[in-house]
Amino acid sequence: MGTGRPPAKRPPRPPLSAPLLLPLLCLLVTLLAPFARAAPSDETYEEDLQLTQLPDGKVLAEFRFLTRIGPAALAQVKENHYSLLPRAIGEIVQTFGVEELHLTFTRGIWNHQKWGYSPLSAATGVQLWTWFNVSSVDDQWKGLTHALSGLYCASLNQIDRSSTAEPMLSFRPEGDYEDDAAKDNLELRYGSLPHEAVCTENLTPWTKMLPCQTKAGIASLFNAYRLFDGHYHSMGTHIRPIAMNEGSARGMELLQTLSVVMNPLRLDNRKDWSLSTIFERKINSACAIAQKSDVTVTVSGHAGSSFNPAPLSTTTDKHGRMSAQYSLGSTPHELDVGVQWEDSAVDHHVNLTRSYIHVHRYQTGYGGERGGLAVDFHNRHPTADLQITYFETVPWYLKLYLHTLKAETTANASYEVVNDLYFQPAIDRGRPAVLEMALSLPANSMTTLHIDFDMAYIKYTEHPPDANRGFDIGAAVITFKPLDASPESSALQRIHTQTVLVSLPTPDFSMPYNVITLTCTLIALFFGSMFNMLTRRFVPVEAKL
Amino acid sequence: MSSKPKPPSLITTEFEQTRRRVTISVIAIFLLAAPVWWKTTEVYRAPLPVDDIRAWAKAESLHQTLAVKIDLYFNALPETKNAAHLASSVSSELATLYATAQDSKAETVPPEESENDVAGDVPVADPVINLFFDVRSGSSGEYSAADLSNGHYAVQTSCGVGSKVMIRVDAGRTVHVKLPDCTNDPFVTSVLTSTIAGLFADEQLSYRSMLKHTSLANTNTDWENMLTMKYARNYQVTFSLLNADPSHVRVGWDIRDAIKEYVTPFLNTLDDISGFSVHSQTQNYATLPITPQVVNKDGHDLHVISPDMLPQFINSAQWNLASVVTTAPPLNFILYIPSKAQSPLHVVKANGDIHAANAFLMPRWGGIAIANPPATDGVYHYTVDELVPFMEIFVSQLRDLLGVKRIKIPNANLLLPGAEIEYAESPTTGITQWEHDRLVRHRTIQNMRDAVQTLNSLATLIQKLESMVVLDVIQHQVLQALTHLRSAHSSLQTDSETPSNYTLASLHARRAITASESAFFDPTMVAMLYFPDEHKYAVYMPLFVPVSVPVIIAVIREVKRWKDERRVKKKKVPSGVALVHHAKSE
Repeated sequence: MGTGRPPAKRPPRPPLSAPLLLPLLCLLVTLLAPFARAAPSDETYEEDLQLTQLPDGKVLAEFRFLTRIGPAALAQVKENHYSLLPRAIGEIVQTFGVEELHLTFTRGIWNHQKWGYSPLSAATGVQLWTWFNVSSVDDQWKGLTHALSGLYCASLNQIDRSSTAEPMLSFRPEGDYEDDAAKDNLELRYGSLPHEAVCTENLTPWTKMLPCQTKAGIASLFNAYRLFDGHYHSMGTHIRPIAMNEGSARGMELLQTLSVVMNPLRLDNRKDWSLSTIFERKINSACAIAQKSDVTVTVSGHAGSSFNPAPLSTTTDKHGRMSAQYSLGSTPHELDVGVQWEDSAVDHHVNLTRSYIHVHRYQTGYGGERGGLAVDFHNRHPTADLQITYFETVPWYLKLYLHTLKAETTANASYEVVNDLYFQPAIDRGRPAVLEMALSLPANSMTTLHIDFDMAYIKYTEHPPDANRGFDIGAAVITFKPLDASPESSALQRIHTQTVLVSLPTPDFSMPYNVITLTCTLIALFFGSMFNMLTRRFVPVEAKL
Repeated sequence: MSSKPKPPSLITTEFEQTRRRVTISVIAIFLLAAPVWWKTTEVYRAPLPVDDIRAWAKAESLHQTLAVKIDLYFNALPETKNAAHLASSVSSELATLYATAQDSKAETVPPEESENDVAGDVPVADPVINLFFDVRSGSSGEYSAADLSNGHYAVQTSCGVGSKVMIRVDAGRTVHVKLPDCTNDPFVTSVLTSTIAGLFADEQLSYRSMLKHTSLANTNTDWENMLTMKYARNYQVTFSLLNADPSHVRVGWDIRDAIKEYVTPFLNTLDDISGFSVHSQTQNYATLPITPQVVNKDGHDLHVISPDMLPQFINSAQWNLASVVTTAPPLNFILYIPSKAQSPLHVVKANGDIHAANAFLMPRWGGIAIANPPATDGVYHYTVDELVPFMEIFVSQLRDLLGVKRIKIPNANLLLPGAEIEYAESPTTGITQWEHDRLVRHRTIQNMRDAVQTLNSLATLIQKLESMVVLDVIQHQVLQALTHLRSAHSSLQTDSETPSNYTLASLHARRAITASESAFFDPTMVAMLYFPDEHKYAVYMPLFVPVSVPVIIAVIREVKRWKDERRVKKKKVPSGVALVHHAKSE
């Protein structure tokens, strides 16, 4: 590009002779004219920003960028012609036979006790699960992780065979499929990187996938200094097949989400906030590509709050939360929505009715040889027993002993907690241990799972550069049906536990050289003395007294 | 408390012998162990035919005569003339012409021979590629296009037509020459010779500059080589519609049909050289990294980009042009729609005139065309016929980037004074057979040269790094590359009957370059992977130094003693005395 030579600027040499082509062209154009403008119409793009003030004064911002392409556009994509769908995404989906993909980059942990449940909550670090529609899944999975690694500047390529799991119970395809047989033919792979430090270098490529990037629309609020200053930050890329109309051919949906929890109290010392105080940005213009561009502000029905500027409409839901709707299309001027309060009181009370299940996972034991993993499941619901699925994947260097698995509950000793159990033992450097359980948690109880493990003494090259920090064990996934969901709905709620930091026996990394030096010295000493014994003559010296 | 000592001479002799035996056996063990140690610490290095590789680097190995067969057909040739005779005289004149070219070439070859080039670079002597013409008269009156192939052309001469010499170079492998009069033999011969020689003159020159390693290379053709993409088996061609401001106008295009109509036929003709995968994409909010200047022309404000700003035109940080799944070299073609604030946007020449096509080419990168759609707010859609001018630009840029050279007779007014020369365009594919054939021949020679250079660099690397592992797969690829080089070379060899088989040679040359590059770029062939030998010695040091010190001291002592003994023997002193004396001194 910048070769230092003058740029090539050449007159065009039309190699096509126009007179010959003209009649042919006219014919083609008249034939194609009706279709010409029809093509992009089955592509839609919508964006949506949901701002919620949580009871403890924090502000949750959830950005959703939804790109849907219909069957016609998908057919063009298969011929490598992209318009709304980013080419990088389309290429990955096609090259690796991906049917459904869920990739999240998360920093911090979603505090579901305080903040309730969110569909955008994800495991700390990087979490990736993918449904494939091809036969050679392991090769495709490897290629996929490498491609995503390059695309998002993350170390996803480190998700190798030894850290890839195939969950049986927790995950189901979420897209629209023709029938259940189509779902059953898919193969699932799951991998996570709990130690990945998510930062701007991951955000930048992620924003480049947005149709308006960060230049217009709600994405213009992305100020990396503030986004990564929050208590929780998670961005996701979700691809799934969808049916645009009932029974029609399948299109594709790309949902990019970003959720961030900010604390106006820390930033500004006040409960009042607006976009400009929490992001230091305002929304200057709507994204011209978006069909719909909405901003919603929600506060828990607390008296004394007012929305600023005045919203288009307000609604109140059954929990008493008040929402204000804004639309970017109808506001020609810059938008800086916010909430003002008459009192400055903050409610730090934990509302248990909305998050009745919560989970705490921790390591037990001491020393560098053995340990245990314990999980406390709390069901704070006063009356209902709850069914959950627990999914845990443990790296091979923690050798789980299934016979030590214990489930205890505070409710009733005879209660059958474990309904179903799937355990896959680990293979050294080959695959992780997978523990998946269907549990039923009795009402108003705490259930504890406990399993023992041995820590492996791994090769010194297998330690990460910061070996003494220890190894992160990825978050366990708890899946359940929300209590208020209708029986036939397939909506699932997921919560993720903390990651666990385990320190394995760590060698001194100058050890190999020390060992070589020490051994060599010993051998040299031995040899030297033996050689001297053989070659020197020891003559007694008469002591002169 | 001393016991009664034995006679000292006896003890010492016995002890001396033991000591000597021990010392010698330790040294013997060391010496025997050294090769074992050497052998066991050796890395696996598959043997490579280094001599073969080096032999290819010599200039003679690439000497080549490219045979071109030309059939002459005559219409209405006067009875008195003999077509075969004409053909043979054209043939001999061409031979003289190209032989002189070779002679003048020979002078530029530097005299020094550098056969034992240790560095492994290709010797400075240049190989010679010569075109050889085999001209015959056609067996029948008319040529048949099906008989012609790469390296086999027909010249159809019509006598007694028109008032001046007319030459038409067809899109196929034929030339039509119309002569007003065929009675003058030397005239006919000279016209035909000039035509044929002229058509191949540029090609002959390009081989010379390509194979020249000195700085004598013609700067003009060198410039063109810098523009052309390096050869690759596959390219990824991406057409991007970049819209700077969709809030002003949203732009769509019928690129799929336009590509099908204009680009695919062109790329299909080249599929015997490289494969292409064609992509297109649309991106919005693609801002320029440069700010165009505003000039006022005829009362209108124009935004212009001067030639010195063009290298900065690409906003590589923000425009998503790279692919994440393929390593094929990309060729990017961009249709840029400027924002309202920067409209209309024009590329200007150095003198400030507006560039009519509003497009430019980035060497070895791709092409950019700027479109200024009518100033309407809302939606603008480029239909296929609106895209035609841009597709013409893109195809011509593709031709340049892929190294398609236009066939023309240089210095036509000197060679063929008063003649009218017409070059036919290919109506659908954008490339004529002449151009295509020349490209095939050019890429064949180039690939052979590059394969030889790559293999030589590989051989040098392996010879330099003694501890580098050479796997069997590398050896296999190198052998394959050499086999294909030989096959390519022999396909180009010709006897008097058949022209060189360019199709086969091109295939082998392609395989040779692919095999040699995959060997060279193998992940195990990275110098950084291997420790320098010093590191190894640093690790062995704690063992070798303490072990060798007593041994060396023992050896020195032994040698000293032996010398003393000899000195004593010479003096004929009884050995016992000397030894006792020696033992005391210990």
